[in-house]
Formats: sequence, C-alpha cells, structure tokens
Amino acid sequence: MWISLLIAVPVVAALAALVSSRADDAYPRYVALGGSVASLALAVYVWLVPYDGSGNALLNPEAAALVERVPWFEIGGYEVEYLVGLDGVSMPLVLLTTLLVTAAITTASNAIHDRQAGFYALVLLLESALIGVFTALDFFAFYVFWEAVLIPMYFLIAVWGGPRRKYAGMKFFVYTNLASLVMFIGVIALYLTANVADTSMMSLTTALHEGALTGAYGLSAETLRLTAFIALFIGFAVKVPVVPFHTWLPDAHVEAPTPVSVILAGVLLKMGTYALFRFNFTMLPETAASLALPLAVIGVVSVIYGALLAMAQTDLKRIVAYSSISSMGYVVIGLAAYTTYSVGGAVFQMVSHGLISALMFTVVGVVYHETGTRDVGKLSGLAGRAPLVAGVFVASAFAYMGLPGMSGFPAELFVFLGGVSSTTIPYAPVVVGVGMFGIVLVAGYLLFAMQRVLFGEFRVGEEAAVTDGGVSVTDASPSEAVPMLVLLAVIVALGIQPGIVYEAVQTSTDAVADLMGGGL
Amino acid sequence: MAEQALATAALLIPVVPFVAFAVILLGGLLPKERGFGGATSTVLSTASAGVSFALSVYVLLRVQATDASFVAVRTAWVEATGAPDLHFGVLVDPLSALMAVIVSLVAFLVHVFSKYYMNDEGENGLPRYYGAMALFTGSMLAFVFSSNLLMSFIFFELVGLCSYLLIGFWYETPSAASAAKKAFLVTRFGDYFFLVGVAGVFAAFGTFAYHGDGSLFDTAASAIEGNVSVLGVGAEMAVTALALLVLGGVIGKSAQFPLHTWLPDAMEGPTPVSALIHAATMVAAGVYLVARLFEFYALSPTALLVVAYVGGFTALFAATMALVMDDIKQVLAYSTISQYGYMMLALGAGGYTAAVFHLTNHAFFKALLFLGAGSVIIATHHKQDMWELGGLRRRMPVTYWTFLAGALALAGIAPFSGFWSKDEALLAVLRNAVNEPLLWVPFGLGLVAVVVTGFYTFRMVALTFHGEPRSEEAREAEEGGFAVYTPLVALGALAVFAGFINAVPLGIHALKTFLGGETFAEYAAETVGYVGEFEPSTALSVTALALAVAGSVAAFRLYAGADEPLRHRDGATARVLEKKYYVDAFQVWLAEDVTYGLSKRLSLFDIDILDGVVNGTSRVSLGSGEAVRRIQTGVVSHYAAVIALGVVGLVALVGLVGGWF
Repeated sequence: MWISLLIAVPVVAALAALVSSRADDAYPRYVALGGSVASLALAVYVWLVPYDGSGNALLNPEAAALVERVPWFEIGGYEVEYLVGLDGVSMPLVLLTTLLVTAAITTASNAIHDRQAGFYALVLLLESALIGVFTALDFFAFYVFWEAVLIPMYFLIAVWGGPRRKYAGMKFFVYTNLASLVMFIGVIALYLTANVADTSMMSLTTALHEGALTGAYGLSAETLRLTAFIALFIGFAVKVPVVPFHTWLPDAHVEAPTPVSVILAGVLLKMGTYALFRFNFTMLPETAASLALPLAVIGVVSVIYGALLAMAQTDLKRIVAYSSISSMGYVVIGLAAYTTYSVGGAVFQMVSHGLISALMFTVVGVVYHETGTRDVGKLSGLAGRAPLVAGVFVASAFAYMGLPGMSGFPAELFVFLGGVSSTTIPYAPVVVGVGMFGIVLVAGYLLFAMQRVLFGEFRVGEEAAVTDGGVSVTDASPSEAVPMLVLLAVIVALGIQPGIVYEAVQTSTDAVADLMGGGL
Repeated sequence: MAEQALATAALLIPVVPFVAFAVILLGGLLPKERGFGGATSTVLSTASAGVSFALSVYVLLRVQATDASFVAVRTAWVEATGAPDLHFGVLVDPLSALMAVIVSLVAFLVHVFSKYYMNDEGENGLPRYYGAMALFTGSMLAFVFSSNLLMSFIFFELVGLCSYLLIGFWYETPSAASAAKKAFLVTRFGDYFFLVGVAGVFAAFGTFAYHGDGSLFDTAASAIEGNVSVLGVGAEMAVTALALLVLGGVIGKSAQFPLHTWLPDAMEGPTPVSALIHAATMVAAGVYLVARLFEFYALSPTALLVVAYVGGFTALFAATMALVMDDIKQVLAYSTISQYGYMMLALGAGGYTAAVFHLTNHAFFKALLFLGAGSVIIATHHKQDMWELGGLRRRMPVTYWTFLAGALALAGIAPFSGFWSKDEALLAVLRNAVNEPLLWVPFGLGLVAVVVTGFYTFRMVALTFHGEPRSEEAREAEEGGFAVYTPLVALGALAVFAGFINAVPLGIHALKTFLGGETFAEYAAETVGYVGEFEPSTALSVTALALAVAGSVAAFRLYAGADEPLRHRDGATARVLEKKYYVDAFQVWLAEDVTYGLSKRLSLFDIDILDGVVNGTSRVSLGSGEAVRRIQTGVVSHYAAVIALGVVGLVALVGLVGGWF
C-alpha cells in the first residue's frame, strides 16, 4: 500500500495541476509544490515508520520491506506481477527523488514561464516513474517504469529547454532508448535461459546464483552470461553515463531548464548505477568479478576524463555536467571492487552526488537567472553582490571536492578505503590510486570557476566596472534560498553523520560485497 | 575523577571554537536586522580561543603531573557491519597537550592583534573573518587531538579549507583570490598522496589508531617482525611506501620542497592570518603529523632518510630565496619554509624532541615576527616593501625591541629560543651521521643554512628598523596601542625564555622528559639503528653560533645604512633567486600548459570524434528516415519506430541463435 501510494501521489498531483490551470495560470505551481511536498513527507514517513528492510531485496526476498505483489498478466508461461518493495538501497534513492523533485519545483518559477501546467505535471509524472524504477522488483514492472521516465524527460528538455533543445532532447531520447533496448535484450536472454517461473528479479537472481543457467542456442552458460552482462552494462552505462557513452549528457544539461537539470543529474543518472548494482553486480557477480579490472578501468577513465573535460569548459552547466560524469566514475569503481566499504560507498556516493549536483545546478541556475549568463569568462566578483549565492556556491563546490564535513567525503572515502583493498581488481591500490587523482582535478576546475565567477571586481559581460545601478544583481530569493539551504543542511548532516543513510545502505550492500569475498 | 575532568577539558578544547564558528555562521544567515555584526563575532571568536587556551593550560599541567597518555573520548563515526568501524577520538598525551597550548595561545594572541589589524582599520566582512578564524582554531585543535590517522586527515583538510577562506579574505583583490586557490590546490595535490596513504594503511593494517593495543604502530611493527606480506609486497616495503605517501600531505601543508610554492603567495591574506598559518596551524600541521607518526616513520630507514633530505634541502633552499625578497612578509614566508625544513631534518634524524622543541620555539617567534610586521604594515599604511621602510626603531620602540628578540631567536643566536632548538636539531643529525653517512649531506645543508638565516634575518631588521626612513609613511609611522603591545610583549618574552625548557648544553632536559623523548630515541635506535642518546657537542654549538653571528653581523653592516642603489645590484644568481629557482614557473607550466592544455585537446576530441561519431550515425539514420518523417511528424512515432525496430531485432537475434529459422 505504501509504495503504491508513493507512486500514486505524484500522478494525482500531476492531474490536479493540469485541472487547476483551467482556473488560474498560477495554480499549477502551488498544486505541484503541494504534491511534491506531500510525496516527500510520505517518503520520510515511510522511511521512519513502516519501513523495516533488513537485507538485500534480491538476495533475500524476506528482507524487502512493504512488498506488494499483485498478479498482472501471463506471457509465454511466465508469471508477470506488479511487484514492488524497498530495501536499504532503494529507500535512500526514493527519499533522494522526492527531496530533489521538491527542490526542483520550488525553484522552478524563475526558469519556467510558459505552459506551466504541462511542465509541473510532467515533472510529477517523472517523479512517479522514478519511484517506480527504484521500487520495482519485477523486471517487467521495472522496464515499464524505466521507459516511462524517458517520455516526460524528453518533453521537459525539448519543450522548455534552451535554443538547441530539440537536438538535445532527441539526442537524449535516442541514446537512452537504444540503450534500453540493448539492456532489454540482455535481460530477456537471461530470463529465457535461466529456467524461472515468473519474471521477478528475485527469481532470476536465485536462478542465476544456483547455476540454473545452462547453455542455450549453442552457447555455453559462460558465454551467455558474459554476453548478457555486456549487454546490460552497455544499456545501463549510457544512463550513468560512463565514458565513452556520455556525450548526450552535456548537451541535455546545457539545454534543459534548471529544475530539469537538477532532476537529471540528481536522480536520473542514479538509475544507471542503481541498475548496474541490481543486475550486473548482484545477479552476475562471478562475471562482474572476472571483469573487475576492465570495469574499474572504465570507472577510472570516467573519473579522470570527466574531470579533464570539465576543466576545459566555460559554461558553468557544462562544468557541472562533466564533473557528474567524473563523480559517477567512483560508483563504478566502488561496485567493481566488491568490498564492504566500496559497494556501500558506491551507493552512498549515488545519494551524495545526487544531493551535491542538485545543489550545484540550483546555484548555477540562480546565477544564470540573476545575470543572464553562465559563461565563466563573462562573470566576475559576484560575491560582493550576492553573498548568499556565493556562500552556497563555495559550499557546494567544496562538497563536490569531497571536503570532510560534507557527504561527498564519506562517499568517496568509502570507495577509496574499500577500493584499495579490493581482491577482485588486480593491482587495486594502483588502479584505484590513479582514479583518486580525480580529487585534485576537481579542486582545480572548481577553484578556477569560483575565482572567476565569485571573486575579483564585480562585472557581468561587457559591462565592466559598473557601479550600483548598472547591472542589477540581487541575492537569492527565498524560493531559491530555502531549497539551497535545505540541501546544504542535508549534505552537511550526511557528511558529519553518514550513518543516517549508511546504516540502511549497508544492510543491502554487504550481502552483495560478500558474493565475491567481501573484505574491507 | 581527575581523569574524567581531564578528558572533558581536552574534548572541549576543540569544541569551544567550533561552537563559536557555528554561532557566527548561523548569525550570518539571519536577516540583517536580527543578525549580529563584527563586534559580536570578534568577541565570540576571541573568547573561544581564550577559553581553549585556559583549558589547554589545565590539560598540559595535568598531563605533566599525571604522566597521562590515553584516548579520552572514543566514538564510532561510521559503524560498519562487515568491516572495521571508523572512529573519532581525543588522544591526550604530552605531544597533543603541548601543541594545544601552542595553538590556542598563538590563536588567542592573533585574535587580540586582529582587533587592531582588522576591526580598527574598518574592514568589512568581520563575521566572515572571525567565523573562519574560529573554524581554523577549532580544526587545528581537533587535528592536534586526533586519535587516529583518518581523523588527522579529516581535520588536515578542514585546516586547508580555512586557509583558503582566510588567504582569500580580500576576495575582490585578484591576487588574493588567486593565492587562496593556489594554496588549496597545491596542498590538495599533497593531500592526494596522503589520502592514498590513508586508504593503503587501512587496507594493509585494518586500523588507524595511534594509541593502545593493536594500534597502527604495533600492527605495522609486528608485520615487519613477522615478515608478513601486505598489499602484495613485504611489510617493510609497504610501510616505507605508505609513510612516503603520507609524507606527500606533509610536504604540501608544511610547504616543503617542491610543494612550497603556495606559501609565499599566501602572504596575500591579512597579516594576523599569516601569523596563525605559519606559527601554529596550517604549516605546523604537517610537521606535527610526522611527529605524531614518528613510531611509524621510524620503522623505515628509507622513509626517515627521505624526511631528513627533504628537510635539509628545504632549509637551505628556502633560506637562499629569503635573501633577495624585498617584501617583509615574503622574507618571513621563506624563513618559515626554511625553519620547518629544520624540523623535518631533525625528525628524519631521529631527533623527536629537537623537532617538537623547534616547532614550539618557532611558533612563538614566528608569530611574534609576523605580528611585528603587521604592526609595521598598519603603522605605515600598508607599506610592505622594506626599501620603503627604514628607521622605524625610533617611532615604534615596542615593535622594534620585540621584533629584535624574535629576529635573534630566528637567527639562532644564544640565548634566544631558536638557538637551543636549532642546535639540538643539528646535534641529532650530527650524532646519527656517524652511523648513517647519508645524513652528512642534509647535515651540511642545515649547517650552511644557519649563516644564510642570520643574513636574511638581519637584512630584514636593518632595512626595516635601522637607517633613515625611506618613505613619507615610514617617517610618520605611529605605533598602535594595547592590542598591539600585549601579543608582542607576551610573544617577545617567550622568544627570549622558551629555549630554556630544553637547553641541552646547560644540562636542562625538561621538555625531553615531558615528551618522553628518551623513549622515542630508543625506539628509533631499536628499529633503524639510530643512536639512542645524543651527546652534547660544544664544537657544534660554537660553530653554529659563530655562523649565525657572522651572517647576522655581515647583513647588518651591509644594510643598516643601506640606500636605494644597493637594491639594484642584481647579478645572475640574484635573478635566479628572485625567480624562485623557476619552481613556480614550472608548476604553472604543469598546471596551465600541460594539464589545461590536455583538457582543451581532450575537449576537442570529445566534440569532434566521440560526439562526431554519434551525430554522424544519427545523421545517417535520421537521413534515411527523412521520407518517413514527412508523413509522420512528431517524436512519439519515432520512438515507436525505434522500439519496433528493437523488438524485430530482438526476435531475429533470439530466433537466429535459437535455430528457429
């Protein structure tokens, strides 16, 4: 009941927003705000009260909390169910989703002026689909939600985006949709050969772990697993995104309006790593472990390449976009390392990066709204005019750099602690050590960006040395300041006391690490 | 009971400034009418430093009386179900007790001086200034009391953040913003190695603890003893590698060669901040960490030798650059680098007591010199070029006499404090060089640096305070009041007398007894075969003193009556020195040309090649769909087409492989 309610509340709010626009154009925004706050409150309530997850939902079906199981239809002898549930990995991601959607809707009024009802309705539908992705435990249900995310996202970019919105939207759509297909083929191949009665993800996991997969179509079980693993990996890697499948992301971010960027970076990218965790690393651990070195290298390349690319950018949004690629690389490294801290850290990093990137995009959005530009070359000395914006900018940049006291530090630390002692990755200290150099590069480009945008003499564009009355730049308004400060408070709370989330996370991640030896 | 009180006091020492920071921060978020301004934050931050100092004195006295060495508070920061927990703890022992007094005393005096330097000058942004000062003090004190390596790293990083905030305090000045960035970036480069070391230590030994059974040191020592293989290599090699990785962080923070470049730039910060950074916080953190990890370093002869070489080389290298600087703060900056080199040299030679002793003395006399320079700077309305000063001894007597005491301590002239500790540092190297000939080189470097130190110190004194005033401002300089005298006189007294706590040539070993220096020396004797006892050497003391006096007198004679022409006598050597041996230029080249250049090139690759392939593919597919699009516009149809294609592909694939056709 609870999970269906979590999925339903945004849908109801979306419909209400559409209906309310008939009365007054200003209503949808308030309806959407109310709906998103209600979702957030519901998610927090579920987490604090009825949620009692005690393990990994796929590895131990008893461990999932609040499971709902309704027969749906039957296809080719397979029982398809509406099957949802929560565990220590999905619960934090649902919380993250509801929090970031609320933040995005709160700040949206600056960026969205046209067709508001449609905008807010789509954002809420997106929220519903995202919650579905993180809670579905049946593959078909999962796939339906997974695809359902694409449609509102496409329209949000292509309709409310910047000048090249059509191109960016189409690129996003084609890219991720092709990836979905590859993934779909991979999973279906597993279901068809693994001898299961229903399409639940638990059944598939159990069957694969028990060696039910025997070769088929003339392929050995080994080859089949490997092929399926690669198909799944490519399918999910596009979403993460992992280099070299990343080129849709900077365009999507640059064109998307700020609230959409917040959700895109904060939540959508986590779909990719979440699915990697659930499918590749939980269902096919031996294959993942045998590929640990290439996987870790892909993670390292993403970290370093993303950071170097971020350094070359002048558009603040592109900087954050590329740095997201860099940060998500740590998740891949953590998963590939298969240790208690590294897998837990990978999931913690998903939550942490979701919060930090959302905050960063929000603050960039405020800068853009106030000055009309995101070009670091055209901005200077904002700190004197907008101290609150500057303060949040500095704080989120340091959070991005993994400064202790903010959530990014424990997240990366866990990945590093676990990663260096990995037994799956050969030469783990060296491989992970190279990836860790990202912490220097990220400091490099963010410090440069801050120096140019915030410090020095106040200037916007050509209007150099304007005095008061020249360019009007004001500090963040309450509708911008409140969500930023709330996000910052959560980031700091998780940095000081990671256990708030990590306690739940490791109930579900330890079991996955233990699949391949575990260790630190 | 007594121990409980001691534990609580130790815990409160870092907590009090953190609370002050939090209050100032929250006050800043309140609306202007209800928030509070500079005055309240000044009082809060200053009082917190004062309280910490009082508590530190109490802790020091209790530790001395009871010989305490224990982890006062230990709590799990991260509770892991399948792996070791990560802890926070307050380690109370002689080293942390002593350092806490140094840090909180200097911090408190710097706060008092800041009232003169910042408030009375009508600076804006005082809450930001004092908030960052409180955070700085709290972070450093928490670093000092850290009971494990991870906690040390955490507060090491926070200290770096505070430096960034304070060096860039005048953020509208581009050079200040740039210096802040450089300080953070260069030290972060060092911290990268530190963090790899931290992760490696955890992977290798499963613990970070400094104290108690199964501590990091015990575990590492028994791994070496048992010849266990860790991280795929022998235990001793692993310890060496990890010690050197951690040393990366030390070299960054303590501004040792080659990561010293941030520190002279950091002079862009307000002078009281410079005093705090150089004497008691940021820069001191690095050397303190090596002292804290001494038992770890002493497991590896190679690591110790590297420490000694880095220190010895930096001591002389930085001192030579101080010779040609014209800005009074720059001279002090390079002297800081050089003096921390001496501490590293002593640690590398097993001179644990000597290093901590010099750290103590240096904290006091360097804070004194910076505050003296700050007094001069305010009195002359921000004149820092020594060639525009001169003759200030008449108009600024308190500043002059206290500065002179600090200068004599820095130059290493008996009986001022620096003489005793520098002498002891060199003694440790000399005594061990007999067994370990490789130590002769850093010993020689350290000894030569003595004469250079005397020279640049008295060049600075002569140019600033002697001769005739060389500018209007210098002629009309006015010395400040109470907020200037108090810190200067307090620190001046320490520069004169602090050295007697361990005046080895006079047979005084109070500090060594307190620190348990004996134990450390014996430990190094057991592990790497260093001598356990350093016999005093009159010859060394006399030589070092003679060198220091010679350098000082020469500089004084040359510069006391100096005038403009002397400034422009530069030869090729001076040019190299003024260009800072081109290390800065090299690093800028690394950052801007190599790294940024690479990133630009990769960006082109990303757009032209990677994205080009994607767009090329889509152009082909979209092009072929052009006809279809004319009939069915809209995206949904496109989506459906892709899905349909995919399903067909899927069926075909499954069918083909399954042999259906």
